[in-house]
This record gives sequence, structure tokens and C-alpha cells, in this order.
Amino acid sequence: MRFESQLLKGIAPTVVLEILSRGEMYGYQLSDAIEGRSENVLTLGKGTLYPLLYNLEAKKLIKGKWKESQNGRKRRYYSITGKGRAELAKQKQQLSDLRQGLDLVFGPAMSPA
Amino acid sequence: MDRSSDKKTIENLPKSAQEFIKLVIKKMGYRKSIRRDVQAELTAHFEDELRDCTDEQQRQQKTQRLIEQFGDAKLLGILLRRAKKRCRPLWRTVFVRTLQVIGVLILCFILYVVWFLIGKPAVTVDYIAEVNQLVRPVADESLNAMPLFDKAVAACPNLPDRNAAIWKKPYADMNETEKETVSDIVRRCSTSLQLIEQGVQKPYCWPEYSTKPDSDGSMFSVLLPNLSDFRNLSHILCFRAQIQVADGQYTEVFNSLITCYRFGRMIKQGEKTLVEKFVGIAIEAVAIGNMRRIMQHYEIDTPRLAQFQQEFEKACADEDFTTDMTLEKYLVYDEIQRCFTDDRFGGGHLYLKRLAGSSEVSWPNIAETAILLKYLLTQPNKAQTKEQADVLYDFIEETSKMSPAQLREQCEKGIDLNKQVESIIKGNLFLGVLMPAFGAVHRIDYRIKTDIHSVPVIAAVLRFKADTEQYPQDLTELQRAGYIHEIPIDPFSDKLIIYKKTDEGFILYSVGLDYKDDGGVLGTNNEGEKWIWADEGDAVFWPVQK
Repeated sequence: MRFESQLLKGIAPTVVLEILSRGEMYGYQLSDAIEGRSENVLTLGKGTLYPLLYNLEAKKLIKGKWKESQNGRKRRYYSITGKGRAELAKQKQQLSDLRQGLDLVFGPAMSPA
Repeated sequence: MDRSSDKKTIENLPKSAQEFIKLVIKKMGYRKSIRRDVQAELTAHFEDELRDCTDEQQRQQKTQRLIEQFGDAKLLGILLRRAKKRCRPLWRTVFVRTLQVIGVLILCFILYVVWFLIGKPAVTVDYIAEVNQLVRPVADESLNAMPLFDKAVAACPNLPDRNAAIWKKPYADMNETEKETVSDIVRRCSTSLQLIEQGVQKPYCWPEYSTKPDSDGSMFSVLLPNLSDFRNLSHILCFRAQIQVADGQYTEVFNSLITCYRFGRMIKQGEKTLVEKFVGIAIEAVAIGNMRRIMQHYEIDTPRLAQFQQEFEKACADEDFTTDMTLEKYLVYDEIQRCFTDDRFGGGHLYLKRLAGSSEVSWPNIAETAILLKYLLTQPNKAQTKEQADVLYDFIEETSKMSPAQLREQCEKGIDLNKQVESIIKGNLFLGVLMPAFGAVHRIDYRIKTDIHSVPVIAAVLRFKADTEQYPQDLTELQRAGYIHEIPIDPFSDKLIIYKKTDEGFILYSVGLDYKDDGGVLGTNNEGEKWIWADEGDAVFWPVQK
């Protein structure tokens, strides 16, 4: 199942922050990780990935740094900042609240009609 | 990131990937270092994606898929640029914005200066033609004295230079050789003097202003070629009177002097340039001075004196002594159209070339250019200057109706003429340069008025003395006895002209340019000589000082 792109756009920053909260990654890894960990439910368009990373960087939620990767090539690694962690916690709380609300509306066993 | 390694890495990618990345970077259009970073990051992404490909076909397929996943290169470029711009630190944003604003301002300034400098004046009005129309009354040319005066100059060529000693010396002080020279000049100029005598009988005197064919046609270049000779001819008229007086021909003497006075009056009367007015006043002053000297040094019988007084009073009746600035205003209008750019180009600002006074303007250094530009950009424009000129000349005309004493009174109350003028022109450099020294012009007008009005009084006092064998106690007695119609007012005090009986006779004077009664004591000029209109002391008309 592919997540509706418009819906994903809203939660994409939170997803990226969540992934990066577990360790620093470069762009390709991050894209891979999102798809892998969500079992391809969440797919972040490549055209969205880098602008999103730069926007998060501009907001100082993440920071990027050129480093040598394991295979010896230079990659720009992104890591979450303190501000990013605080924002992530806030977003997670909002998602949790949203989920509770949705459960109340649709019932715990939410399934397509 | 290292630039050479970037280049090498991207070259390892399939051509389609290279083109895509380059297109994205091109569309991004941002700072070079940022673009290099983004390019490296995108290249790395493609590299990682293609890492596990085993053959070329698979590489190509994966590349194509990834390009599709990235989407439109142009849109991606724009999104990347926006995102990267947000990454800029605040100081950098402020710095860049400030530079942009300064750049825009400099550009606007350059455009303004260029727009300003390309403007040129447009001479649309022939003010000389307008002035010629203005000064000419509705009268036949035969009623104009000026052609006769011009003929008088032409009929008396090879006069001594204007600076020659004979023009400056009273006839009585000349030695025999000089007197002979003067007699010769008078003889040679008899036709000229006759022409002047004919001219002063005419009711009008108007010139036809013109310029040299090779001039710029401005009012500044108007030719007034005969003015200097007019002054010489006035002296020759007075020389003739001096020669006649020695022969006892008093009627002819006074006729010559009244002719000289009328000549001066005609040169200056009506709407004339300031130069013409000054020459006219100078000629009048020569006549008046000679009249007073002759009355002092010669015993003239009462009937002749009475006749002279009557004729002179008739000649100077209704003379207007107020300052007419009409032609000066036209001169300023003419210069405005030549010194300011046309309103359509250059915004009607001061025109550098005309101001510099030549068609070849050099730009010597930045400092001077900056000063010039400052003036050019901050000075009132064409319309404002014309408006200020109108107000200024209206003010001058109104003020010229006030006597020097009234102006002095205003000044004592703190209403300073110069400050009033300054408040009108508001630092307008152009008007400041072109504006005549109005205060001086005003005083000269009233000086000659006082001089002229002194003559009939002197003649009347001398007649009274001859008739009664005593001088009048005061001018009221003279008036009561019918010798004068009215007692002249001294415009420098706004009181009656001062007459005092003395042991030797009488004294008649104005308080003069210092506005205070110094008891009839003359002041001195810059050379220390006694001078009738010195800055200090009184203007003593009688007794005549040597």
C-alpha cells in the first residue's frame, strides 16, 4: 500500500526526524530507511526528500555535515538537533492525539468500508 | 567538497543522470558553493542507487526510474533553491538584502544622473523679440529719439578713449592745451550735439535690441554699443556749456545743460536694461553737477535764472524714479530657458554646460564633479526658479516704491531687505548670481532724484537773494514768496531737504547715505577725497564742493 502523497507531506518532516533520531544518515540511506521501515507504506518522493532536508536544516531541526561513509565515499550526513528532538516530541504527541481521535471516530478496528 | 573529485564522480554516472543533475543545478541558480554541495549530494544519491547494478542495461533502467522519482528538474531546482535560501543565517540575509537595496539605490541614482545629464535646454522663446515689442510704444518711428542719438555717435568719430583725462576733469581745472583740445572736440561734434538737441525734443526713446550674428542670441549678449559714447557726448555738451559760460551766453549754457539732462533721462526712462539706466543716471548727474557749478561760479541775472529754473522744472516734471525691473526679469527668464534642461528630459534642472560657461565641459576630478552634482541635484528646478523669480521681481518692484528712509526704518525694526530676498530665493544659486544688487540700485535711483530736486531750490534761493538782497530764513519762506512750488523731500530722511542760512550764504543738503544729519558736513570716498554721496556724512548740494 502506498500512502497518499498529500497526507504523507504533512507527516514527512516528523517521519524524517523520527528516523534521524535513531542515528545520523545521508539522503539515500534516509530514503531507503523510510521505505524499509514502513514496509513501503511511506514513500517519500525523491524530489521532495532533499528540499525537505534543507528546510529542516534551515529550521535548525537537523544539521548536515560532509563525512566519509563506510565505503570511503563522501556523503552528507544529517543528524537531529536538540531543537529537532523537542519538535519531534511535540509532533509525536500531536500524532498520538490524532490517532486517539481517529480511533474514537472510526472505532478501534478501523478498516476500509 | 572538492571540485575536481565532484567532476570525476559525476562523470561516472550514466549520461542521462549527468544531464538531469546538471539541469537541476542550472535551474537552481543559486550561489556556486551551494550548487556544488547540492550537485555532490544528488550525484551521491544516484551513485548509491546504481551501486549494485551488474550490467549497463540495468544501470540505465535504474537511472531512468530514479530520474522519474525525482520528478521535474525545473521544479526540483526551484524547491532546492528556496530551501537553501532558508538555510542562510540571518546576518547573511540582512547583509544580502542591504547590498541589494544599496545596489538598487545606486542603480536608480545612476539612472537619475544619466536621465538628468542627457537633458538639454530648449530655447523656445525669443525674449529679445519680446523685449523689442515691449519697449516700443504705439508710435511712429519718427517719434523715436534713439536713431538720432545713434546718428550723433556716428557723426562724432575718433573721440578720446573713455579713460582719457579730459572726461574726468572739470573744464575750469584744465590747462590751456586741454581746453584747446576740448574746444576742438566740441567744434568737431557740433553736428552730434545738434542731433542730440533734436532727439531730446522727441516724445519717445526706444532702442532696437539685437545681438551679434555669431552670438548665442541670449539677452546677455545684447549689444549696447553706443552707451559709452553717449556718456562722452554728455560731457561734450557740458564742455560746450563751460565754453559758452565764459562768453556770458547763459541762455545757451542752460539750454546745453538741460539738453544734457534730457538726454540722460531719455536714455534711462521707460523699460530699459540696468546698464542703460545707470548710463542715463550718470548723464543726468553730469548735467546736474555742471548746473550747480555754473550757478555757484557765475553771477547769473535773475530773469535768466528764473527761465532756467522754469525750464528745468518742466524738463524734470513727472520723472519716475522707481526701479523698473521688467527687462531684468526678461533677462532672467531668458537665462532660465538656457540654464535649465527642458522639462521633458532632465527634469528641468540646472544645465551643467551653460553653467560652466562653455560648450566644452571638463570633468577635472571626482570631488569637483560631486560638488557640481550636489548643486545640480539639490537646486530648485526650472519651474520653481521661474516662480521664485516672479516673486522676487514683484518684491523688488514693490520695495522700490519705498524710500531709502522707509527701508532703513524697516531694517531698524528687524525687517532686513537681504533676509527677505533670501527667504524668497531660498538659496537658489542661479537667482543669487543673476540678481542685481537691488539695495545699491535703489539708492542710486533716489540719489539722482535728490540731486535733481536740489537744482530748482538752489536757483530759487539765488533768485530770492538777488531780488531781496538776503537769503530766505527757511525754505517755507521761499515757497511762500512763490520761488518754488514745493519743498523737496529728502528720501534719505523722509523729511524736508535741509536748508540753513550761514554767514557766507546758505547750505543745502540731504542727510545722505548714513541717514543722519551731520550738520552739512561731506563724507569722504575710499581715496579720502570729499565726496557728495559718500557712505558717511551728508550730501551737500550747496555750496558746491570742488
